Amino acid sequence: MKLNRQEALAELQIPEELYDELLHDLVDNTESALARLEGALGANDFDQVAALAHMIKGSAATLRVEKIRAIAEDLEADGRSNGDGTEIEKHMVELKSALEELTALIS
Amino acid sequence: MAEELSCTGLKVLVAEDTPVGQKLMKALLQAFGCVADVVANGREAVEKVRENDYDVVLMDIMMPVMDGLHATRAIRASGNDTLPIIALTAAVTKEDRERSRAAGLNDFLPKPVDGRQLKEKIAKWGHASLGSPPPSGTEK
Repeated sequence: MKLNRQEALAELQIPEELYDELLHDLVDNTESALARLEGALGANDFDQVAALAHMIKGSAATLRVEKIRAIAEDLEADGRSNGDGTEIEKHMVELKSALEELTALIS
Repeated sequence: MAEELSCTGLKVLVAEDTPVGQKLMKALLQAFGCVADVVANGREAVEKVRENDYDVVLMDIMMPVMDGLHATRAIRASGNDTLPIIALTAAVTKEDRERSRAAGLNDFLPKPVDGRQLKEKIAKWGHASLGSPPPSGTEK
């Protein structure tokens, strides 16, 4: 995963310590959202899938974490189109993988 | 220009649903010298505006419970037609702009947020709200 830290810091104009703290928040929040996504998918609640994916997309975009933003965007589109469960599961697997990459990068 | 902009003392309400966005906006606004309140949806924003005297509101458009367009309409319908409300949105097509202006929003701040743009918008609309001339060098 590519994390363009300097570009993000220049655009956001925040201290590096705060950026790192926000990245950890992104990881925690996305892990929590993934657990809720599994529940939403199990209940065929595609509105909730879209809402959770939208939250992840916005948070990742805020911090310029492009890979997670792009996967969450696909997942949100899956939810809004009322759901191909296979596609949603595929994008959730991709999201988990990207989250592991981000976790490794910031540990 | 940007380095001359002052936001010190301005009271700003942020309606934003993501915890990451909330923490970022609060930190940025405090760094600018603003007094910032943060709420998580449009309904809470309407209540906060009713109870407090803000200089500027930053309103996310897509939020749970009540979205930013509905919240802005509710604020305007309550008779508050002078409070500057700036839309925070990733979608800035011509149609989005028309819909937002029709709802009573004054301006747009593209998401993801850029710290310098945020400060310019807050300074511009905060000064307009206070009745002082807007700082030069800002774009609408």
